[in-house]
Parts: sequence; structure tokens; C-alpha cells
Amino acid sequence: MSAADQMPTPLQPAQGLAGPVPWMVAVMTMLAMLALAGALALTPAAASLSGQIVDRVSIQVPIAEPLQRRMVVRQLRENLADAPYVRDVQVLSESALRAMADQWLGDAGEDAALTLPAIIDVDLVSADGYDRLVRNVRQISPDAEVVPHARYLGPVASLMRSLGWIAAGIALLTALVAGAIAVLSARSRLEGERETIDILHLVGATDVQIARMFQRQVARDTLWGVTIGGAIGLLLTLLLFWQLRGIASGLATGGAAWSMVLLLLIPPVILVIAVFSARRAVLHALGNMV
Amino acid sequence: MDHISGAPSLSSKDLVRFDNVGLRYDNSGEVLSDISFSLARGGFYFVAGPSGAGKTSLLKLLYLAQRPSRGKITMFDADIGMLERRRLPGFRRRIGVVFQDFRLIPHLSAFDNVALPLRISGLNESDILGPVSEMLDWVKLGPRMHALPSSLSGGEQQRVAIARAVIGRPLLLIADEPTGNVDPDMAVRLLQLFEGLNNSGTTVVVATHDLHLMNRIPGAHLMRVAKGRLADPTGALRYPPASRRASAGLA
Repeated sequence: MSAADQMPTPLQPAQGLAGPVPWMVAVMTMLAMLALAGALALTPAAASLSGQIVDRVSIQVPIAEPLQRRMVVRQLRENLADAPYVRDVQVLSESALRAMADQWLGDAGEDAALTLPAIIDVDLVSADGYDRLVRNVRQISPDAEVVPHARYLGPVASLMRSLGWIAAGIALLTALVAGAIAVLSARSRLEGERETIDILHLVGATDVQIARMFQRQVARDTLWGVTIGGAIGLLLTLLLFWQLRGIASGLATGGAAWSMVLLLLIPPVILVIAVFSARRAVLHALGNMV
Repeated sequence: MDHISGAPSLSSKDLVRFDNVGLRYDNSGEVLSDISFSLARGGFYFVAGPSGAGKTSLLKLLYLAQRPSRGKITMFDADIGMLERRRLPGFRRRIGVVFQDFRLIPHLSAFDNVALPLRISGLNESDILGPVSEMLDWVKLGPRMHALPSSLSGGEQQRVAIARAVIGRPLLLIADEPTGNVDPDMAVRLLQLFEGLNNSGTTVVVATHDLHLMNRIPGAHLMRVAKGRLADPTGALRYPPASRRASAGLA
């Protein structure tokens, strides 16, 4: 490193935390981390949900008479268990159905007079087996209804995927805004330092040397910002994940370590974007001077 | 005092040559027109003229803060108009500039202000301490090397500015009204500094209104600028371009 890099900066001393830039960068860093955390949580959850529903169907047997209903259910189970396109057949017990109904109907769900359909969950070998399943079920019980889970949960998975991408986009935009803040700050500083820049040019400073001086100041301000914002963002993310762990447990898949690495990459990425954007802006502005 | 002589032809003695140079800022009219002269190596030059005549613009061309709008400036054997921007810093390092308002960097000490050109040129700190201390001693500011400009008098600040301008041993020293903000005694002392530098081979160009000051350097050349043109003491154009010279019968 030459003396030019080590010398006391001829630019006005940076304001540090007394100036607005570190705080704006801190807010942007925190928002970027939260948005990315959202993206990282939603994307695998959507994938997990899609994986769970794509080959699964439920067969509802809406026969009021219990004996006949049980007979049809037995016929369906036996028939489907041997079908080559079926991976697994599970008949929901009546007690499980009652318990589900209780969640919606309260004590009324206990009323024996209330007729509940029988439900058979079927996991297909692949989605291609759906049509054969429907034909097979119709032959045994024309009134039975085959409901693919994707019909109801597919849009939810799709929405989760979209939200994940939107969150990732917001994280990216927020990081870029942090870079833009650094550029605006460097430009405004450039205006305020015109006299010093003239002096530096007069004594033979190159544009790169001058840009490096600005770059160091931007790096200092941004470092403060990403450190503060990163710490708060990480804390909030961990807090949110801790609060959501019960809700998300059925959906979340692994990759927590990778998610954490990506989250922790946000502050240095913002620092790099800010410093290099500011350097480019300063070099461009200096290039327009004599 | 000699008035600057004849339309120049660049010789090995010439450090700078202006041929038919014009300067305009943005889309306004020319602030300098048809400027032709040459500066010999080791010469001492005064630039005189009323306020607004174009002295400062002429100096800006000399210290490469502006490039000519037309004409040709040859400096250190290079055509400045054609010079790539990235090569300008190397040329500027051969020029020292002193301003009336000193233009010191306010939060740097006298030492750091003087050391600036050396640091910019990439010298190691160990190679800076000696020359800078010596230079500050030369301008009699050794004991005040750590003072900030705000705590120095006008004369002291100007001496720091001179020390900064000459620390890199420039071939050309340009001073724009260097005595404007100092008392008469200090003005004479500053001029003695310039004379000392000139005696060591530096070409010196000083813009000033002060006739008394000009008379203190008997061998100096005088360039008068009036209404953006280089004029002789009678006010007539001194170095019109060849075409005009012929038509005016001045050839």
C-alpha cells in the first residue's frame, strides 16, 4: 500500500454514525435480510407442499347408510390396494372424521345423527394414474367423489412460491437501494468537495486515487450501516423463525444452514454493491471534469 | 524589465508555447482569444492586467485546469489539447500552483498540506518526512508544522501554499495574485522565495496587479492581458496570428 493510500484523507472527515447514511443503509440491510428470510422460508415450504399434494387424492363416499358405506369403503380399499398405479391407500377412521368435524362444528359433531362421508386418502404412483382411479372408483360407487389435493392446495403452494419470489425480489431491490444510497451520498459529497478535488487534481492526483478516497469513506459509512442493520435483521429473523417454528414445522424442509449462510451474505453483498457503485459514480463524475 | 518578445518558435529552451489559443467556457464567448507566446525554461514572468481581463483563465490553461477551445498549447514537449486525460496528472506534477486564497485543505496540518503532492506521487512516508520538514524550515514554518491552516496567519498560510507548490520540485511555478492577502513586507519576502526558486531553475509565472512588486525583479518578462488578449504595454495586440499579422502589416 502506497503513501497515497495511507495518508490522512484530504476529504472532509466522515460523519460516521452522526450522518444519515449509515442509518439508511442499516434500515435497508435489515429489510433485505427480512425479505430474504421470507423468501428462504416460503420457497422450500411451497416445494414441500407441492410435493405432498401432487400425487394425492381423497375419495369421499357420501352414503348415509353406515353398513352400505362401510361395504363400499372396504370394496374400494381392496380394489385400490392391488391397483398398480396406487402407492398407498389409507381409510380415515370414523373417529378421526368425527374429530375433524368437531373442529368445525363443536359439540354438534358428536351427534350420531349427523352423517359424515367416509374418506379414503390415496397416494398415486404418479399423477398419470388419476384417470384410471376415477374410472375404477365410479365402477364401484358412482356417487363417490374423487378430489385431487392439488385442486385446493395447489393455488396455495403457487401463492407461496410467488410470495417467495416476490420476497427475494424485494431483498435484491433493497440491497440495490442501499447501493443507490451510497451512490447519492458519494455524489453529494463530491459536490461538497469540489474545491478539495481541484486541489488534488492540481497536485497531480489521478481520478483513481481520488475515487479511492471517496470509496474508503463510503466503505466506512456502509460498514457501520450493514453491521447495525445486519445485527438487527439477524436478531429479528431468528425471533420470527422461533415464533413460527410451530406453524412451519409441517412445511419447512432442511437447508437451514444454507439459509443462514445466504442471510449472512446480505451485509457484505450490500457493502460491496455500495462501495463499487460509489466508486463508479465518482470516477464517472471525475471523468467529466477537466 | 523586458516585455515578452516576438512570436515564439518552440526551441529546447521553451517550456511552454501557446499558438493562437482561444478559451471559452460552455457556450459563452471567448474569454481568451488569439493568445500566442512562449515561456523559456528558467524564465521569470509577470502576468498583468485589469480584473476580468483573463489573467486567471490564462493561468488555468497554464496549470492545466482548462484545455484550450482552439489553438495549440505545447508544454513539456507535448500537445496539451491532444493529451489523454489519464496523462494529465503526470504533467500537473511538474507544475506548482499558488493561489491568492491559499487553497489549503483546512483539516490537514501544515505538514500534511505540504506533504500532499509527495504522497499523491506515491512516495513512502520515510521519504516524505525529511523533505517536508526541510521545506517548512525554508519557508520559516518549521516550528508550526503541526498547526492547522485556521491557526496560521495569512502570510504563514501563503508560505505553506508555496511550500506545497514547490515540494515536488516543479519545472513551472504559477502564482495567481500570491501577495493579494498578505502585508507588503510579506509580499516582498514571498517574491524573494519565488526569486530563489527561479534562480534554481524553476520557470516562474506570477499574476499580479502590483507594479511595485514587478519592479523588484529586474530581469522578469511582462505579459499584459487586456480583454482576453495578450497586449503590449500600449494596449495593441502583441502576438496576433500570422494571418492577421500579415493583413495588419505587422509581420
